[in-house]
Amino acid sequence: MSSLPEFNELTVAVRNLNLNYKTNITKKPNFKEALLHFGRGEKTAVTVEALKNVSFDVHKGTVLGIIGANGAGKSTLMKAIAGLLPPTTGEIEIRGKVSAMLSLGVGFNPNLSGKENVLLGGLAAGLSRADIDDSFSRIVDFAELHDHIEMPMRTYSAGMYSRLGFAVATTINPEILLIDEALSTGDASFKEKSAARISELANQAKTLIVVSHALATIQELCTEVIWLDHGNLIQRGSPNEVTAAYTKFLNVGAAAITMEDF
Amino acid sequence: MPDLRQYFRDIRHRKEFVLELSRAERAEEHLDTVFGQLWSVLSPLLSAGVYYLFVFVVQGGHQGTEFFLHLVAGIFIFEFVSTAGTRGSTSIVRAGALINNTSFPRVLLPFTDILTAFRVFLPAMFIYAIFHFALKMPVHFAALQAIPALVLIVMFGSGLAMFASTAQVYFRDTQALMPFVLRLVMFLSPVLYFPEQAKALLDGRFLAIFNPVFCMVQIFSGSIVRGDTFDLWTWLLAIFWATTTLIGGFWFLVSREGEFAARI
Repeated sequence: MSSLPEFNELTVAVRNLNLNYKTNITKKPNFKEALLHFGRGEKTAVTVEALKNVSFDVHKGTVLGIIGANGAGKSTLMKAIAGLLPPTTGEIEIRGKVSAMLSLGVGFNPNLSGKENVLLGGLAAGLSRADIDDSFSRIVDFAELHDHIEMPMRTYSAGMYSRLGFAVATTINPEILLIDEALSTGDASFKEKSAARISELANQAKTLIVVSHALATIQELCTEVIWLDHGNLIQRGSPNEVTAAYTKFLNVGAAAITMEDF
Repeated sequence: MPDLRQYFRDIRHRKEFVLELSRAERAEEHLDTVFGQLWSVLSPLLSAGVYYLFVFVVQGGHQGTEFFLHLVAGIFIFEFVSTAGTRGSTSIVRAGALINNTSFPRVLLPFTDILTAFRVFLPAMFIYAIFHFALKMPVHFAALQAIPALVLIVMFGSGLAMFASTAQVYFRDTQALMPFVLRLVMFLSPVLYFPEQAKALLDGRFLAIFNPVFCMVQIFSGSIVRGDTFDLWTWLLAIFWATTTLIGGFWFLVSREGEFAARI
């Protein structure tokens, strides 16, 4: 990693990021479909240009919101920052430990208990067993899963899944926390608790990057917002300014439907 | 391709993940209990019984104690190769949410399945030993060759699991094709017959060269059952295929793992 002075306060630096990936256009990605398409001379995969020349910096203590329509590249950007998808060109510099709650968060094996999934998710992320044991009771407390933590995760409701995922991601003391669409699940009291946790982490000079369609949440939590559309960074600025431009673009004004958490 | 030095450092750093995932999955499938282990041995044992009967009918009688033990040892070791291929084929797709959420070397997933397959295979060798002693067969010094042969088979199994798990990401019916491929490979390996009984394809020499597991299985089973020793050529072929499959499978997985999060 470079030690250039301008990077001193930066935690995430995205420079001219282009990210393309291939995705299947067949019904199911299998040999049969591949053969049938091959027989007709059709392609089975297309290249998606998910991010186009995106650059931005994120500093310590920032809560950065990412907004944009479906297919804008928000989740791809999060996956790229989390190190799950390598940039096609350009670079992403990360300074600090990243914790992500993308897709469903923990719970990759529904037949194993919540406790085992927490342990395995933590070990996969490179934490030590001692670190995870230290945080474990706080995770269970925060997720309010005392009666269920020893049960297989297939018995969990969607809300329980996301509560546990959020609790793990925010408890293991990350320097950079990525949260994708996780704030709109869970009941009202958990949402409030999650928002409080996010503010608390931001006050501790952590860096948070949040993707949400709930613009009210974005305005309330974020200190900066970027707006993506079809892989391009359209605007970056204060939450009010960017969400106003975005809702105007959507041509619906600040209607209740986009402001609400759904 | 990622920076391999960093990649291997990450692998070493996550040893505990592999051990814990294998332990948790074995516990979930009850493979950590005595009855669970017996159950896992029962399936290859029944296969050995079925194939014994088949050979008994085709050849018109009992083929001798050596043949019976050769069959049991061959089926047991092949069960390990099969588990590596079938279980391994799902190891990446099965871990969907983890792939989409956490950055870690993906080869750890097929490695975990290899470890699980190996832990399931060990009690099977204990059952083999019971047969060997109960049938009053001598223990040969040459049986020690089974240890390097087993290392080569584990290397091959790891390569196969890495290859199949990556192929499954692109073609979700790899898992369904795997049993046919594995059965074909088993019939083309000295499991249901002694190596010298292969008559087709240049008296089996063609198979020894082009079937990756032929020589490994030959050395493993031949050394423990009959105390055979093997020429350099047989060893070199076994080493060649084990190394090629391991490196090839590793390269295939690692060169493509950047795409997994977009495809799962």
